[in-house]
Amino acid sequence: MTGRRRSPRPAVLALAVAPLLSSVGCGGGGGSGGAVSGEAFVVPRTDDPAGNAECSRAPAAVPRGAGVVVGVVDPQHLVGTTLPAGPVWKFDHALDGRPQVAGSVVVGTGAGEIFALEGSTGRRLWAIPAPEQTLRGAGDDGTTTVLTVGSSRGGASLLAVSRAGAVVSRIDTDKDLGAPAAAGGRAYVPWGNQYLSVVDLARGRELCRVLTREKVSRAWAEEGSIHFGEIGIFRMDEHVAGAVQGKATHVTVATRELPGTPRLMVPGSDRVPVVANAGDKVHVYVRPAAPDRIYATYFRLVMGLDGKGHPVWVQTRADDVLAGAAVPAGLVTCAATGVLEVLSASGGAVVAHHSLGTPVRACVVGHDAQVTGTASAPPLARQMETALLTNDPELLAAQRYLLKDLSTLPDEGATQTLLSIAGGRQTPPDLRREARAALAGRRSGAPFMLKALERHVDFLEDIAEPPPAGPLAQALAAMNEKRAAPLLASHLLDPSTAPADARDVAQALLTLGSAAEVPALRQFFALYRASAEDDDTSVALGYVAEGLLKLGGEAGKAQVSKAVKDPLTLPGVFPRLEGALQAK
Amino acid sequence: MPVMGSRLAGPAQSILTAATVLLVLGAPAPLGAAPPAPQGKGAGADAAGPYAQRLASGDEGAIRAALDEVRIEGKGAGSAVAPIVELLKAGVPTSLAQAALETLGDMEATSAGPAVVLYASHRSAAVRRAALRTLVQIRGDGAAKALRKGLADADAGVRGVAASGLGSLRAKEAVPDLVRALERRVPEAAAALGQLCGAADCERLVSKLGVLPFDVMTSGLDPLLFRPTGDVPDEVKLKVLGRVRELGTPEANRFLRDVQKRWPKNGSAKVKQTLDQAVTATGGGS
Repeated sequence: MTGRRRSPRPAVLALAVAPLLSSVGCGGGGGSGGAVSGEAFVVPRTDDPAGNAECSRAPAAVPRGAGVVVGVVDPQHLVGTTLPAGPVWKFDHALDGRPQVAGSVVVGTGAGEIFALEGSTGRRLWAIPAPEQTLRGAGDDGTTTVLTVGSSRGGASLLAVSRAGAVVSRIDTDKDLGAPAAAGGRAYVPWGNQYLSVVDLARGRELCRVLTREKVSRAWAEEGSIHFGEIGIFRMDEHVAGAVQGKATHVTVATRELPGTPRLMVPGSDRVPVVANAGDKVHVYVRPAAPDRIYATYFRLVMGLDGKGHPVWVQTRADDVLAGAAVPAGLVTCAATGVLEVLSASGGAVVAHHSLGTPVRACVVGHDAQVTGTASAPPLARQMETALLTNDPELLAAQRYLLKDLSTLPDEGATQTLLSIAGGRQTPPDLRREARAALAGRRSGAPFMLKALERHVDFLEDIAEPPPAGPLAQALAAMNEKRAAPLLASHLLDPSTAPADARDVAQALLTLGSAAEVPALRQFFALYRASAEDDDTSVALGYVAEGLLKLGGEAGKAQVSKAVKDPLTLPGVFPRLEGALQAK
Repeated sequence: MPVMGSRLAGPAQSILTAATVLLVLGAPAPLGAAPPAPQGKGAGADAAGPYAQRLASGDEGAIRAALDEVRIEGKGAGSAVAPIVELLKAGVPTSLAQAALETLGDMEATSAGPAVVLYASHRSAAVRRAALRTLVQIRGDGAAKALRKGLADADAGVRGVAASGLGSLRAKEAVPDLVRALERRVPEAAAALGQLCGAADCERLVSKLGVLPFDVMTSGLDPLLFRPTGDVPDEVKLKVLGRVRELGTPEANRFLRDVQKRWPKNGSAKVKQTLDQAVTATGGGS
């Protein structure tokens, strides 16, 4: 990958037909005898204002995609279909890279050739020999397919191939070409990480060029416009000439700190492996026309995010999502099972589904699937609960990310969900710890908290875990929820309550307790002032002593005073009792 | 949310515990005050006597030595009950708590029940087990209730002591809990059910044959078979014998022969006859 540096040798040419990629297109399909060779991608370019004005002209006749989805069953077999309900086709061909969807065409490479299929049927359109080349990207304007290919010997080529398989135009260069788009007889080619050139395919000539200050390596047609980018997304419109000044139409994807650091796009100059990897499963999708809805996949979790990157829905699927595409209806996903779903933009409900009919090891989803439908989804807190309670170590990073957001939701349902996570037997320890911390900070959902505190460990009822009494005590004390006092007192005395929780419960009873809790305080004090086995219980004894002095009347004061003078009282407890007496 | 059944838990337990604590702990005696008047056997005007001072000394070694002596003396050291109870009410180290509880058990100090109950919810499972064992020994107030709660304890040892104890106390009201405990594989519940079950619950016990280990089952079937006919109808016993016979295993035969040997002369002839047939049928020709 070259950097943004300009070449120190202006005279270096970038064009040429020849030897660099001389094997491409020779003898295949309709042949290349009449190919136009052209010039482009020269740095620096002799700018002409008229040419730049050309770039600011909205591309004409940008083709709509056909909702093509292609799956890699294995490196020898492809399946494909079109959404929403096209027939499934199969095509057998050796593959040495991920196939590409270019409008209504599927382009693949393998066995020394580049081939094109009709996306709706899988019918072979053409093939051209390309023994040493790697397919980087493809675009299609409905009549001509443009390809960028990299050579194992360095450099790259832009090829235009007719439906008959004739290479009608070819430009070879030593520059790094990204994945191109095509519309109206023109190719839109990102290159050098910072340029996008518009090339007239008929004349093999660069019409204009856009300079950006952001890495760009991919161009594509979507919803009637040409877009390009890699980190963000630019649109080819009347503002694009101002890209270098930051004045172009541009979408920045606010992904916050999404788990797995997903990418919006793989760099266009990268060779994409045939079989999907983690980078395919951890991905971000967005429609340039609606950047306020972002989609992120994390293995089998699919999230809809708002413009600031906060989850608005999360769906837990049965299998990893290998690919997707944002469409007006929502997000098209392709799972490892071959199942295709359209998840609604608003709530993540499945509004349409289809299937490739077989498990796949990689998938490519084209733009512009025309899918409609509605469905309702559960509230976000419930969706998060499902995602967070899914016992899958692979999901932990995403679950922690979701938990952070869940804890900020003000509705009571979020408290209920946090309780389920904190008390879930299958909840990973880290997640449980974070859920407990989040519960302590809650200021809503008191009824759920009180209900949770009614529960005690009970072997006969198969209740093996106590509720998170400590965090609940903190939250309920902060809410001054006096109804919690008797429940907390019962947990203070429950031997299943962890010492740290008992400590927080004792502290909360200082705020919430009344004379009714004095017997519990007295019992706890008697049982442990000489037998506390840990610091938390010692600290709890300090709070309990304070409670006895505050609520227990003369009897309470006498119990504490006597313990201070009793040699059986543990050394670590003495100072806490003395402190309580002095404070009183 | 699971239902707690007839056992008491949560706030209800807390309220009862609170009431108990008020009764048990009462107002602590002022420091330096004379030890409380002794209760139980041998209590007299000066009966606070040989142990009270050491038990109230605050010296762990002296207290332990005093408890040892009381245990050796047994019921005769009744004057020590009150100071031991005071010791427990004020709070002691874990090891002393166990020793004090065991001492009260050995003394069969019924009046110590409320103080012992408090220790049935101690954080130390060893202390909880000791408290429940003591409650069984002293048959004190609240023993059955504490034992039923113990059946739900997180500690298997506590559950076992509770189940056995309920059998020993003949706590028939605990049978539903014992059935559930058996279903949750608390082995000691089998023996307790064998002692306590009515006809229907006995059949539930018998239904676990082949499900639970045979030695666990025989711990319940054995006492069941020897209970009086008025308590367990012969029909139930015949079913038991029939089910054991169906097993046809050597260990089933051993069990049947053992019962046969101990069958009382005045026991049910009908059951005896079935027992004899079952022994023969499972004998494998020997």
